[in-house]
Amino acid sequence: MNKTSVRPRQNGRRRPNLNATEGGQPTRGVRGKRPLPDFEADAQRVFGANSRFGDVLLGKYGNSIL
Amino acid sequence: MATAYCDFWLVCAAILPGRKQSAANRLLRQLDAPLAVNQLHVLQLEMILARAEPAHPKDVARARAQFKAYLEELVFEVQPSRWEAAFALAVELSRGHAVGGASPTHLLHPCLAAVAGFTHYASFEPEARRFARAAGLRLLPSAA
Repeated sequence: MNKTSVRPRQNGRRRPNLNATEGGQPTRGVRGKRPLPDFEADAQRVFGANSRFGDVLLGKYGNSIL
Repeated sequence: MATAYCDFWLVCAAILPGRKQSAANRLLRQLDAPLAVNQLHVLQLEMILARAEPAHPKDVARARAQFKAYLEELVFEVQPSRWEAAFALAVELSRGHAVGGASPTHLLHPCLAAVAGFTHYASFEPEARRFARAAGLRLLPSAA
């Protein structure tokens, strides 16, 4: 089996593109200052486009932590 | 050099889908990676996810995996903290200011930022922003 053809997966979903760039600079996985990734796009990919898990989490459980 | 500390609630708003995510995303993307977090961020995230896990196991697993991936990718970096100095400042500020409905971490995050030498405090939480200003930090966004 050609292992290089297998995409790394996380919870059954494709991992973020470590080679993604913004303005020619890598956004992930490299030491030193660089642009941050698009968190909103990442969340849509991981949780689904209509998810409101953050609101549920902080609304329902936010007062119970420190 | 300007450096910004992002508090727990802002980190949550950025990485988890919800009504504040667009604003958090816009704010954080003005900054550079890696974003500094500390063990208080990690503890609060672990605790809130553990409480939600029985009712939302799949989303909790997704959130844990996503945060772990961000750490591995150096989007966030867990940095050491000056705990004793931060607690001492927190006690001092709690005596000098009306604490109102603030939780201890609304006070502790700004103090961790101040003793670590950050210049700015990034947060949407009014209570935390009030203490950050009292600790001498500049606020991001400048108005919220």
